[in-house]
Amino acid sequence: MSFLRLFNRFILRAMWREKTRSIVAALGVGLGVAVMLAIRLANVSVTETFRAAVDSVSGNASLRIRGVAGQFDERLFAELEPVRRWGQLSPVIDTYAMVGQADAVEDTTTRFPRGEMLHVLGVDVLLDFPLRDYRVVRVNNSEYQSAREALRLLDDATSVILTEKFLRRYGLKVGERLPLTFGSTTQQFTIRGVLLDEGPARTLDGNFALMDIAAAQLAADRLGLLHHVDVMLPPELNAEEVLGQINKELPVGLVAELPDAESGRADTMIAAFQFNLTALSAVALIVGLFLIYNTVGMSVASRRSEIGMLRAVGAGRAIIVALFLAEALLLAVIGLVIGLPAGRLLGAAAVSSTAQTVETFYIAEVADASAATLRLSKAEIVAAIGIVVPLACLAALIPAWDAATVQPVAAVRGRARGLSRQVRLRLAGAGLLCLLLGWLCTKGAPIAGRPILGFVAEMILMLSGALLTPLILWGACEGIRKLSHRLKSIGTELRLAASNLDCELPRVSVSVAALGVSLSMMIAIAVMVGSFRETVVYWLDSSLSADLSVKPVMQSSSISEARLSPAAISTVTNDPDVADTVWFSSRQIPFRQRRIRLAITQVAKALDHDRLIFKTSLGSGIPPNDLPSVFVSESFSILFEAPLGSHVRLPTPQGPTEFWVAGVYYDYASNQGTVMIDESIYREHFGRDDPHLSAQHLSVYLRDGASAVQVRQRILRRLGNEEQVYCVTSREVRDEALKIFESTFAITYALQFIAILVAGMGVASTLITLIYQRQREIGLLSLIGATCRQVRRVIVLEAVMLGTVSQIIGIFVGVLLAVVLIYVVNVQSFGWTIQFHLPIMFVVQSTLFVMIASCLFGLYPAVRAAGVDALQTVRDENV
Amino acid sequence: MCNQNLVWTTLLALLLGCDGSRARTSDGVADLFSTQSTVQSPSSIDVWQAATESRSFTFPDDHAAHPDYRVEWWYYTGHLESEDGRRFGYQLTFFRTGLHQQPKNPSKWAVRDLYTAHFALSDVSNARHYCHQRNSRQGIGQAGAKVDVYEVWNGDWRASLEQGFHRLQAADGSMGIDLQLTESKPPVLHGDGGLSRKGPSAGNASHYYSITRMVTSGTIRLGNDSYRVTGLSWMDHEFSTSFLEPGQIGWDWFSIQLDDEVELMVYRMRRDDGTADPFSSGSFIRADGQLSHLSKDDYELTPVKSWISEATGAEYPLSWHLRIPSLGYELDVEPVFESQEMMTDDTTGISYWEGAVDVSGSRERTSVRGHGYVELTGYVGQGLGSLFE
Repeated sequence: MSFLRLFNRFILRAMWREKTRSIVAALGVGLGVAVMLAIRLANVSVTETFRAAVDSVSGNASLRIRGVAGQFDERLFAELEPVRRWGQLSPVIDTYAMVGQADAVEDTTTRFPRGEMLHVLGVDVLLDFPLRDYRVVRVNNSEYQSAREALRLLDDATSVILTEKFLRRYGLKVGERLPLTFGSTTQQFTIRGVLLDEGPARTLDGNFALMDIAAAQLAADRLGLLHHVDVMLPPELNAEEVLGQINKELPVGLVAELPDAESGRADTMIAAFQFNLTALSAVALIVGLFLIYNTVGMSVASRRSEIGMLRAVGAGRAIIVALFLAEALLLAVIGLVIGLPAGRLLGAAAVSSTAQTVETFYIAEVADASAATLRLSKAEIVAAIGIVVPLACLAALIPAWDAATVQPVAAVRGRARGLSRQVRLRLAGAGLLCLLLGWLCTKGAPIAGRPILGFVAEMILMLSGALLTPLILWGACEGIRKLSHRLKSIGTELRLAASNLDCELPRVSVSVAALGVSLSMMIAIAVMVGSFRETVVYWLDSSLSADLSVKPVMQSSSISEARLSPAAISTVTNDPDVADTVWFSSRQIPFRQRRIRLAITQVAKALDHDRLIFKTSLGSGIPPNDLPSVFVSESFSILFEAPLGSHVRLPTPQGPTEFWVAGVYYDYASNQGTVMIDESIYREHFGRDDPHLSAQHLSVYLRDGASAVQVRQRILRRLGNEEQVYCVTSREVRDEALKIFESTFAITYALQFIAILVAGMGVASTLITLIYQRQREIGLLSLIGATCRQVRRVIVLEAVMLGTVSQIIGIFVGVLLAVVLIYVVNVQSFGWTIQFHLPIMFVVQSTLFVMIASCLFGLYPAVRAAGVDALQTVRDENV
Repeated sequence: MCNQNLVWTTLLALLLGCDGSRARTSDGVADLFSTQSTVQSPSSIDVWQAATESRSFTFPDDHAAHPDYRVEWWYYTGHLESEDGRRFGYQLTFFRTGLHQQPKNPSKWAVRDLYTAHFALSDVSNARHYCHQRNSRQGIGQAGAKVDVYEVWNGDWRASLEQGFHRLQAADGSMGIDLQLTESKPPVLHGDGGLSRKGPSAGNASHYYSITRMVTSGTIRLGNDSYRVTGLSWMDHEFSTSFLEPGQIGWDWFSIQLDDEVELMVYRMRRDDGTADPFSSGSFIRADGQLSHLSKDDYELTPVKSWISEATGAEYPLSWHLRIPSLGYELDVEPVFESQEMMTDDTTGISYWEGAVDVSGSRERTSVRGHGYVELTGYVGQGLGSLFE
């Protein structure tokens, strides 16, 4: 008999007969594939969109010159004379603006969009056109058009060119006016032209604007400053080769780099987040593979006698292994067919929900744009197949080998039952060894800046949970059997259920382990997020000492450098009920291979008002060698190994300068790493490239008895419509922060839900198989007088027992996982201290939920079992 | 005088707010342009000085910039020859066009003046023409024109006064010049003591002088080769605030250096009705530097042969016969080669012909020879005049 015919008769027919089980297994794999793929797509897509945005904005530039601390004094541009012989130079102001008014009441009389971010590039329109792939459509007679537009852009500081896409989206036309907010002031700008959908205009879904450099400097409050200078080398020069030489010719305070260095820095920032997400998505896949193992295992178990017969008539072991591997392969392929398109859909959803997190690093439009362009590449499909198919075969190998090694005679006679004492001891040993190994892994340092060993420890811990599952299940069965004697009403059913499970321990354990591991992940995430939340709430409550907080609407992401206008600042500080204000400003500076935040504040005042919560105390407070002192955030301290009292070398316009770390403070607002310095120190060391330092954020302290709400109303009224500021009470800040916090973790919850769904299907499919195998026993039960109701009860009890044991394993392993997440993974990837906090209510609720859910999952097989025709099955057996 | 190409004219016209028609848009985005223009032309509060009467020039001070006037240019052309007999023509021009006397934007990048420069080399021996142009703003010193001393630059292209001679430096890609020019004759003031009228209305005039004979030496770089060259150059410097009238579509301008040590400058303003504008005129500079003004009726300019540009399709009259009966001149003007068209699409979209010419003929039966430069504008695309409608 050929292999295909054998496969058809032996596997395909059986799969068809057991449709439900096969579908559940394939769906499980499909869901696993979908989740893994969705996360991968989401990660790749966000990174690529960001990269594309950076690349197309840098255009044909071969090199980029920037200040060592980011922006720099424009006078340095004159000192770039030696670089001119290499290629054309184009100075750039790179900023963001908000369209319309962010929080104004929706005004139906205008078509202008509200609260959307535009990436604004200010360039020398006389020079820059060859450098980037612009295509500006002109208004007038073709011969005079470009000069005309160039002139309008030069002539009027409120000129802006928008993309075709943006104009069409909002029905705007050239010549119309559009309100834009750069800092806190809203101003009318005139649309002077259309950028066709090419080059930079394609980025960010068309949310891109072009201005002349002079206008951009004025609008973005960057007079006297440049963000970078793009260098276009002639084609015969290799940028990497001349980079070193150009760097030697640059004045102090400037540095040249390849244009993608910037996106590299952003990649590093998003990488930690993405790595964690990927690791989580792997769990979903592992659960799917458990299902394959489970299904093939069931398939083997339910056909031991057939296998025995096949072997008896001379089928080789290889044939048997191949048959079951082929079954696994088929399931994997069906799973892939379901999972690939589902992953694409899920990916779009995942991108949207990660938008909030991405916004911390960039603007939300990146995520939106990437969701729109999300696509399934060949590489992704090949990768998915490359991961799933071998793993599926590997998962099926154990039961398939098991089938192949069946002694023909033993197989025909009956099934192996229960766990021997020896196996129990071995499992216990292996489980404990895994626990030990996992604990050892938590001691490891991060590898390449990522908590790889931490995740290895997580995996090993989950494995130990899986290994210990049969033991716990066995213990539970024993316990329940003893307990059942005391229970009158359902004692018999309980005893029967426990005995049934005990008999099927090896197979049931696989399903329980899968569910238990999924539940453990859920509980781990819940404990971690819960602990994190408690910590953040504590931090918010202690550091939000101000009554009101004022910032420009543009200051919506932590990298935004929008500032309050002088008018806004004076309105706030001069309010009669305002007792004191502390201002705060920040800028992004490149530091080693990353970007960090340099925060500037009035340190003495900030300390007075308890604005900082220190991890390590100020010590003597007297810096050695008269070094200027800085405070660093906890994540900076961990990321760059800068403990209290150490020295950090920061890039300043005058060259690298040593600073003394006078304190490490908690900051959960950003994991970027923040260095906080006093304004006087900032002016001394960074003033050269930031001559007009002013506040981005004001913390307002009111006189005793003043009402925050009334003061806010007064301030907003005085500011009028021109000034766009958020003026919020500390309560609102706290709520807003927590809202962002929740949405950041929304995706992790979604992920876990899917994993549990997959595992639940595993339990259901296990039970269905068990019942199929036990039709004879069930038939006998009926014959000796068991009612349908009793049969149903036994099955449901089995399901609830499985669910409860899974949950117990889940809690046990989950808490361990959470500890690793909090103290190892989190610290290594974000550098945050989180106080461990067990959300008791969640544990209780989830346990109840799991029991009810498993009861429901057990109902279908129970109904099926109760419908078994007793006589028929008993008769069949005896044929 | 109006040796100039159209860059500044165009910009000026645009500044003056001529809105033209919005009929033509391209690329399927016509619907994105509103039919009713809400864009107001910038209301100019600038008060630029008008050239209304002759001024007293002092040199070399007046070589420097006159920022009170809206437009100003410095123009150099010349014929040069290398030691091994290779002939070159060159043109280097710096333009300054005022946009706002006091830009409202305090940014250093705000544009008070727009600086444009053109640099062309004619490799006569190989009949090859090379040209480059630049548009810059002052910014952080990228371009400028000093007021106290003569120095005007656009990137690394520069004209300045060094120890009594003019120094010209320009390089772009494969070509470059570094020349020293010595004034062999003093500057001559065109028109009425340097006031050159361009139209009937008062103020439609420019301050205009030339140095018509400058002994030149230096180096020319072309590709990988460098040539030591000598020859003769011509310099024009003109500043004004407005002088083009509606109805003028372009001009034909000639500068001629003859081997009998005299120079001629004549131009013909062409009107859209095909006639020569009455304000066409010229100058005749004797060997001793004395200048005679030539009015429109003192000379006859006759096109003899035309050339059609493959690149733009424009038909330029390149061979001319120039007759000045009062002085007894009968001159034939022939280009050293034909394709010396300046194509400036990426700055203004305007093309014109400006090139080196050879001159031969007679003065009262004595044969004379010489060289010159000719500028022919308004032969391609829309006439200048439409800008003023």
